[in-house]
Amino acid sequence: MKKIRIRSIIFVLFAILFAAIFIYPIYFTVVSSFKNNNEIWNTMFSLPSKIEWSNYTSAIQDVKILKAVLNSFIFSLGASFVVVIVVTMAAYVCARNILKVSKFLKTYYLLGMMVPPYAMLIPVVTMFTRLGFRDKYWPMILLYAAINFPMSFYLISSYIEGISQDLDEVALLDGCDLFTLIFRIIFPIARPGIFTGAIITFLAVYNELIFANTLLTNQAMKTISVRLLGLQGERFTSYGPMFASIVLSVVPILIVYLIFQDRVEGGIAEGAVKG
Amino acid sequence: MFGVMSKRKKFEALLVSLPAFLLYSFVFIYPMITVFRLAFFKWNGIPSSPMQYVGFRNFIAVFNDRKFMIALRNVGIFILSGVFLIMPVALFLATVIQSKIRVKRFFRTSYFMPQVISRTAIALMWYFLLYPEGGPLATLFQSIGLGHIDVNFLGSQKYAIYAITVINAWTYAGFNMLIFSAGLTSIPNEILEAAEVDGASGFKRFRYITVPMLKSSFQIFILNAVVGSITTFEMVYVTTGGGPGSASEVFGTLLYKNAFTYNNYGYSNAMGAFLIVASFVASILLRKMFAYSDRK
Repeated sequence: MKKIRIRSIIFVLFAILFAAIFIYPIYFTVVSSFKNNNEIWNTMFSLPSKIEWSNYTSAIQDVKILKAVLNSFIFSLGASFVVVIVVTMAAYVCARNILKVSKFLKTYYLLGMMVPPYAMLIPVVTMFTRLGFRDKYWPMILLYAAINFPMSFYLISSYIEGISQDLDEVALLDGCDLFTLIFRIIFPIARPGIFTGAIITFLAVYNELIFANTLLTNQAMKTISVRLLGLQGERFTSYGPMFASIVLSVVPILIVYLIFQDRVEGGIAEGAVKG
Repeated sequence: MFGVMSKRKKFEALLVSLPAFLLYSFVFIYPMITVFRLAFFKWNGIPSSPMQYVGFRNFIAVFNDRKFMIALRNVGIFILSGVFLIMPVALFLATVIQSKIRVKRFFRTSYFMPQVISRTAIALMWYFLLYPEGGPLATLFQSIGLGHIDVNFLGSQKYAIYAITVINAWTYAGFNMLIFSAGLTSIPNEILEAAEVDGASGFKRFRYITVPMLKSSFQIFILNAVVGSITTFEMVYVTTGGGPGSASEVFGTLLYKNAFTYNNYGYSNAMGAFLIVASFVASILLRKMFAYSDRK
């Protein structure tokens, strides 16, 4: 029995050690965001002797990080909204094999899961430049919806496939049209699957960098990833505002994650399994 | 039921599918096809300047590029780090969140958290962690008598790529934990209990029951690790940008730089085409291999 106890103590110690490894960089960032420049360095764990709120005022006024957070939210919400409407309709038709081409469409949509979106960077940038779409909200939202289309289609259509067709039949016999059927009857039942697709899209868009970095050049349009990337090159007299900017841009998405934790983890795991 | 559906219903179905089809075709598939077409043209990216047909010359330039070989080696390092670093860690983390440990939710959350943080924010965090003058790692090294080691690994020709694989492991361990955790839940408890009754030690149970039963989780992991390594880009771009020099270059950074630094769009499109084909071929080959080994 003693041997088992020692073994389980070692197990727990390692579990804690790994938790520390994953949390420490975040801890260091948060603590440093409240310190003045002298206190940040040569310490590993110490708390600030005096809380330096000026880092946060500087992050908001000079870095304008909240504007970037707002932009990230607009793109994320927009893309999730488009995904919910457009993908749900398409997923329903494919999941129920209504059209002769349903099978083909399914393969066609899932094809995108195997393609790294940034491989299409140059044609997309060229297209956006030619059509005057740069630095505009809607084109960017549609682009993000398209990039996240395959994954959310997979999540939503496999959920709808698991729903019994009994209700569909009753509704159709009652003379319900397809649009009403999808949004009045299927949507409420499939809400968990649809919501998972939406939240996965939301997370991916909030943190997206490559397309945002090449297509958004106007300072007022930049998202958090682009804004934080810009900070790497800028010279600061103090590092505090940089840490505060990281905290202000990461906290909103961590809150979203913590609220919808099971959906986020479930959706990501399901997507990973499909690969 | 849908077999007897009226023409009107079919028309409605068509109508309802249309927005998705148009969006995906125009914004995803059309650019993808364009990549393959433009890969055969030389172009400097200026809209008014003409494109010149050059046959396979862009592809030849990509494969003859000295940096292509560096990228290939680095992708190999990424794959190896997946197998030897991320896999054991993720497997351990999965056993933790499947064990009877207390405050399980705390462990689960802390392991997974990096996954939802912007890669740029992660790069900044690690830039400060590895800050040579007084950063936390430098301080730690100082206190254990390793002060002579330069902790600026990201700025070192020799170590940059390894530093990135560590940051990468930190970011993606939680994601891979979920893959193994899903596999672990599918192992029936009775089997493990029966083995315990038969006197199999913890390690033996793990080696002879858990690992074989996790076969499909390992397959999913390998598939993600290989395809993810071939297409890796963001993490390298935000930490070193492929530098110092070209030490940590990967396919993605080469694509990006050739377009936006060297105005060599033909090269970039050829690289894009290569990336699409390579990730396709890799995932199909691996699936075939797995299917073959499952049948045996």
